[in-house]
Amino acid sequence: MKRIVMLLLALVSGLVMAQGTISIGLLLPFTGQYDWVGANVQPVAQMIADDANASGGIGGAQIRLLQGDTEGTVDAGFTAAQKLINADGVVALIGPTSLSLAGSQQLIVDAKVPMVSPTAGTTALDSFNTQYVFRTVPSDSLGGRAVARAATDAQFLGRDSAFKKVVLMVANAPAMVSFQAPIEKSMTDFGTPLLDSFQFTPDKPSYRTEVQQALALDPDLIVLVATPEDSARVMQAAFQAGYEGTWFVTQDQTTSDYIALATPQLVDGIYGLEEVAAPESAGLYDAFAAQLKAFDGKEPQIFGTNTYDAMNVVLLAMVRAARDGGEITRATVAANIRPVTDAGEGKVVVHEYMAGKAALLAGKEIDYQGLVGPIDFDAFGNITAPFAIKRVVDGAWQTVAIVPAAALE
Amino acid sequence: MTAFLQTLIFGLGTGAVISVGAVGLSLSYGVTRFINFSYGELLTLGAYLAFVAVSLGLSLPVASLLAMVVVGLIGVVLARLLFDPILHRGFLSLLVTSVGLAFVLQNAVRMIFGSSPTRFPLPPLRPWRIGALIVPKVPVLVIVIAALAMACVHLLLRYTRMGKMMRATSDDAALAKASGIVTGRVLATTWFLSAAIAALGGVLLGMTQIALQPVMGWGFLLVVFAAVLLGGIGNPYGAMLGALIVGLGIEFGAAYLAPDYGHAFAFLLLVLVLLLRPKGLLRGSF
Repeated sequence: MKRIVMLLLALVSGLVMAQGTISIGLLLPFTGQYDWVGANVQPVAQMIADDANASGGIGGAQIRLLQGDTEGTVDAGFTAAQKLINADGVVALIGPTSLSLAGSQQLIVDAKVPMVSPTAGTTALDSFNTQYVFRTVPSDSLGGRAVARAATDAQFLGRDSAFKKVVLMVANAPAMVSFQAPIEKSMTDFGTPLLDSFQFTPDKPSYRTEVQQALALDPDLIVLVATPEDSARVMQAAFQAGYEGTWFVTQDQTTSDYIALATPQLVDGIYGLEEVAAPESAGLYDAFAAQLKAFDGKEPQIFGTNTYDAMNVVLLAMVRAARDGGEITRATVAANIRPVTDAGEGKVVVHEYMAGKAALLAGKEIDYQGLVGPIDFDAFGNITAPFAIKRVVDGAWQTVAIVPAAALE
Repeated sequence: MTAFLQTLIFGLGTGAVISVGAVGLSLSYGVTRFINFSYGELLTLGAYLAFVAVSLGLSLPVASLLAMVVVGLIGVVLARLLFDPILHRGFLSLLVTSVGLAFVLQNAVRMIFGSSPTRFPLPPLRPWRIGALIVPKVPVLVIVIAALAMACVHLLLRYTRMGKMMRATSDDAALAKASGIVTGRVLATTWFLSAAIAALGGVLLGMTQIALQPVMGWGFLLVVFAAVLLGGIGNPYGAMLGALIVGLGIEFGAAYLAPDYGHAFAFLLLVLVLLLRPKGLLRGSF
């Protein structure tokens, strides 16, 4: 009897505590090879949550962030999603990444939990769901098109001529394979069909055979989509085999860490793709960077701007759901995401949480425009955004050109 | 023809890396009669210690030698503490202990250096060009270093007093002891040599794989086992031969059959040889 009473008391106190908090799940890798993704996202998300809590929370409740470690794998992603959705009862998710999406996407949709991913560029989400799936990172369809656009247009390369003999090498992993079809199609669309396009097994100790396959066609550019470790091995093998052409890599490699891993000698002059803040958001980005530096002591890293927008979208949707005494539930959050991001007559344009909250509580409607771009979700929750084409010069990545979203149509 | 010669060079290079690892394992098995599953971690330690020494300003050759000495000493200490006291307890106790030690060492490396890959301090090297033939430098370098190491092992085993004592202990430990050989000293020397050679193997592995990771030795261990079994477990000369066959099998299999299944062809070769000669190509002793 005593045990039952204690159990009931614990349950009630848990419920009392839960009523004062709104849980948002961070469904991301916090351990394993991709732990840097979680490490980049967490401080930005926490900074915005703290701001919201400091201003009185939302609907009288405090925002609480809960981690669900996907470890960058499908299986662990499923388990982590189950924990956040069923055990922790989160009302929204930030994440997941493309790496673990296959394990959790159906679970998320079946549980009707709105997810706003700042990291998942996989084309699997291009037309997956119209109600609960959103992302503040452009699809790899656009990223692949940006690579092809730059490779075939000298104005984006900072050189006299574009590349004519291009080979595509793609690691056979969920986050990478997504780029293959868009690049293949876009290269043809832009008038320079690929000489060859093939996948290779990731995490091999040597890629000599694969490099030989690529070099047999005498390319002047190899587009390489792989992890940093595999990319370094491929480039090393090609260097040792005498390749003197250029490389084009994707966001995972457009970092100073990659230059250190592969050595400046190997990567000098290579091109890289990076999602960037919209040029019109330059001033906003500086303010965000300063705020994050003060909060966490670090500059924004990859996915920092995407996370900023994702968290603002979710929190502003909650504010809209809660005004006039409404409840904050999974359904109401999902239903209010588009109303706070879609453009419209008479809407107040806002760029951050506090301004958006003030406008909403004053009875106005808002159009959140973020660091990444306008954050106008299409029917399937996708956005468009510009890309930077970067090049390694004197041991550091430098921006050569910006490919605007309009150039990718 | 060019592709064939290049594959041959890479096959010999891969075989050279495996041979260094396999010889060290064979040496320790020959004397102790148990397969040390933590051996792969000694390869990893060797590669990382060489990296640290280069970071401190030493040249790669000096750093590698230093890593060999340090890992050799670590090998002796670990063996004295963990393996020697239970040598008489049978195969299973030693096996489980070595597996446990492997996990401890691997995670210690991960704790100190992190999980992210680290670049091995070898600058990228352009190949030699001999007419139409492109000869990559790294595998040639690896072959030369491995050949020198194997020559040293051969000279040690054949022409030094300690080498003779090691061979005697490998043949018959009880008789060796009865003959006045201090088997404890032989054991310590064997542990040192085995670990030092493993460290060299780690350095060569780092040279070919470029990116150092805490799991690199563990992942390589299976291939080393294959070479050791193929050559005749406990026989360093057999290990060299087995390593060569495994290395060539991996490279030719990958180049001419399927790039993703290079290791599979090597193990297929192993199975075929063991079916015909269950004890391996050479007898299992020095």
